[in-house]
Amino acid sequence: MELPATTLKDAFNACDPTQPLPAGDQRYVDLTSGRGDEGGAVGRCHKRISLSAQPLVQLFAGHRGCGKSTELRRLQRKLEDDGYFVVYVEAESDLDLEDTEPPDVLLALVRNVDRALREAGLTVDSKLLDDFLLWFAEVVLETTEHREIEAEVRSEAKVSGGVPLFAQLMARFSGWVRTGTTSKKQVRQKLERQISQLLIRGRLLVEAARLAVRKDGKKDLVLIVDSLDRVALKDLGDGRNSQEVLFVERGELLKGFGCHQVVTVPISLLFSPKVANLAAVFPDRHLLPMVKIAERRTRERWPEGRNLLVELLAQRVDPEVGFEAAAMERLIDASGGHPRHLMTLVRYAFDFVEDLPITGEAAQKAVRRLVNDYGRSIPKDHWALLAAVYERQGVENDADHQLMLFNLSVLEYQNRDRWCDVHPAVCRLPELIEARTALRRSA
Amino acid sequence: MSRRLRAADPEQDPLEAPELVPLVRLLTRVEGFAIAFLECNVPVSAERIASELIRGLEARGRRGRLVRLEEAEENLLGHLRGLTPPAPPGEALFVLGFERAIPSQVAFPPALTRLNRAREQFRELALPLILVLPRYALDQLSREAPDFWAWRSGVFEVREEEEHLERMVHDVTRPGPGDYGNLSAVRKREHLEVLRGLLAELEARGDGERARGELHYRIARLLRSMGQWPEAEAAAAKALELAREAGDRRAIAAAGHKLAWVTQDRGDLEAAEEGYRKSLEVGEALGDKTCIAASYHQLGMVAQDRGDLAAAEDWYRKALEVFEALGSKTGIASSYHQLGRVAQDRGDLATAEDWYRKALEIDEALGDKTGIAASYHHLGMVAQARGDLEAAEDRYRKSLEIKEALGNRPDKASTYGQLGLLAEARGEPAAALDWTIRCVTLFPEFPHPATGPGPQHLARLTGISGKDALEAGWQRLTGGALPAAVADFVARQLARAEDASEPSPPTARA
Repeated sequence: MELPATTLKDAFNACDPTQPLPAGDQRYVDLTSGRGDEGGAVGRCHKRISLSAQPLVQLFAGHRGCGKSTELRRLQRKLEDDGYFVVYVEAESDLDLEDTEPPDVLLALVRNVDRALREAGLTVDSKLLDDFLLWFAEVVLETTEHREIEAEVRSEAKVSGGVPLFAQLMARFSGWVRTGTTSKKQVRQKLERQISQLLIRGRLLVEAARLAVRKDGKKDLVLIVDSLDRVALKDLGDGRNSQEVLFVERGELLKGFGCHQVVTVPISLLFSPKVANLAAVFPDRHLLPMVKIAERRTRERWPEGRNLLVELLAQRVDPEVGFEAAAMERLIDASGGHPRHLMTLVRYAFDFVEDLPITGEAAQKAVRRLVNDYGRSIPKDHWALLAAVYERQGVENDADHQLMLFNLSVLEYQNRDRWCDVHPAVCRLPELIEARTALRRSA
Repeated sequence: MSRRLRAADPEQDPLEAPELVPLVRLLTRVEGFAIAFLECNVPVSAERIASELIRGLEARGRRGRLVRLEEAEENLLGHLRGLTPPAPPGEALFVLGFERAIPSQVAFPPALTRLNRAREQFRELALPLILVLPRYALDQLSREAPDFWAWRSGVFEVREEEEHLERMVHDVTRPGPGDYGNLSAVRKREHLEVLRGLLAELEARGDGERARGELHYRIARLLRSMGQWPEAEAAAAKALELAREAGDRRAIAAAGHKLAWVTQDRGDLEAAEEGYRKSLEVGEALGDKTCIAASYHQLGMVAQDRGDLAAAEDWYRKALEVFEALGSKTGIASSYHQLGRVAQDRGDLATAEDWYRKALEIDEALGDKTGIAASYHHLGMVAQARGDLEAAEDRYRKSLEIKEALGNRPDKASTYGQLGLLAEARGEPAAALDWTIRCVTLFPEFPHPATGPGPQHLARLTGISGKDALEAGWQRLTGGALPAAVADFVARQLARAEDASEPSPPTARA
């Protein structure tokens, strides 16, 4: 496929809302200046890692689809170019994000470090691995009815040759975690009782890994943990939720691993009542805001940010061939500066044309469709709150507003100051218009 | 609003129907993986349109396949991976019936959490996936599987032809036997899907208050018979609201009556009585004898629930008189049954048995399975009260056989509860605990009002057999660990009983 696309079919497939861009992809556009002061999160993450004498755990947050994975892939490349050994952990593939607990995360990190070292041909002291393995087998396999699993693992070790037993056992654990079986609960309970041991042994392995990468001429080891922000938000019924438990109450566990980490966390956590506790555990936090496309107070178009999104589209579709001028403006307006929503809107618009260009009318229909999508997903009791967010351009630190950020009905912007606003597509829904009228009457 | 598609005209190439063009364009342009949603509220139309689209796509050199999910499929990805023959890359899969795994009363059902969790793995299918869903399920998916939803490439809507829709609404709401209690659980669920689909279709059009009210009323009846009481109450309230908007007095009486019924289920006798009296008033004004008799009957049940047996008998006899005048055998059997319950509450077992047997005779002649099961259940209670435990068990089991075949959970709960009490009377506490666990686990909520004193019995029996027995029994019968809410409830009940220094005595179910 030749880019920027000049045919409808190429254009359609160049605007896939499901694909984050790999580092170095020609479609990449640096949106930092449009995201505002905080937009240079990648640069700041990199700088802090290079300056800090101690291992640093930095949190990275942003709305779903705002470009986090694309930026983290860029950070990976930047760090690698600078001489770091980077392990990129895809939490979505390694964990059951609907049901994630600290032991699962720690073991996923150990597993990924081990795998990355092996793939790079680096080794750590085999005694350390054996110690970890024996301890893990004793805790997880030998103490209960899992003897048959142990036998299976051991017999596999005999026949599979090339893959070390440690990796096999880690892979088996990962399987338990992702399949949500009874084994998962039992294994997790056992590990939970031995969590400090798990941390100590994991830390020893990570220390050994850091030595190995330094010996190989690298500056240090860095873990980038992507998609952990997708961990399910569950009300635990006692005033706490699953995300707060993982990142706030048990956050020290992540920090205790003893290496540089960049970890994605749900954006809603930065707006929760526990944000002060989170800050106490993780003082280094970065937020990837939306691209500002309108001024805060007046909501007038902000050309600088919009031009970046024009460029984002132009890298995919030849603007001369692909869009009528009014069409592009309409699509950018309705996206709220959210990169994936812009891609979704463009895809929607393709459905309403026989061939390029996307017309103003097709763009209008695409916007209408996104507006309708929002009509489905917003709970009835949010309308009055959304009206208040629209007026105030800010959110409260409570569960309802957290949900609004989670569902993308409210977007976060930063450019000099920091504010939130209702998604432009939501603003067009009659329910919000009515709620705003009611709010004005009651004021 | 999204683009609305009308049901395709059979004379026309479906892919050239203007309403279908956007979806067709998406499917013919996409390379590899894509997710699209097709909203269609009427299952039969969904299948027809998807089939036509596939035929049209094939005529254009693209492949397509219909995937029907006959049962609630929690693991959609696993199902698609296991298709025979396997789906080749690029083949458009139209998935029908996924809504069966998205029950509207359950938040974050496992099917949606799995869908959300496995988003990345769907990409490996490398094909366009079109989930065909009714509006309620699609709305729920957008909220409860937000990551999967975020990857959509299109959302399309199919609207039913007006004439066809009217005919379908007429067919499902016309007066008839309509005794949902005698439908099996599967049939009830299917019928509920049809009713909800038609309702969503009418709501999307924003007209047809009268028909929508009638559909809400039917849904309320159906949900009540399924033990989904809060949802039934909401549907009945909506039916009443729409009947009032339409100024349809007969519908107001029917919906008001149903609403009173569900408020009575949750124990609000005052609200229920008020509702029945209003319904009676409308019935009298309209000269609607069926409505009058039904209101008398229910007012009798309210009086009985309050323990005012004389008033209850009075209302039942008035109802019986009207039912006899109408020649309504079902009504007569119901009155006999309730008169039996009054006699039973008075301890007059001989009279109670007489009434129940008379009711049973009519129920059997009518083939009214719900009635037969209720009669056997109460005949069992009479036998148990007399100490004839063998006869009691025989009758409970006859009742249970029918109830299990019908799958009506509130009815099953009452018989499970009685079998628990029977086992306890025989000195078999382990069996008693098992029956009681079966009773209270029929509903996801605990305690559920349809399980009557089941939760209290559970606590008492745990006091006898121990918490370990409860945990083991729960694990064995449900396959899951004892929920914290149940453990807390039991602990609180036992602490209360200890404070009172004596265990609460067993009470028979009404």
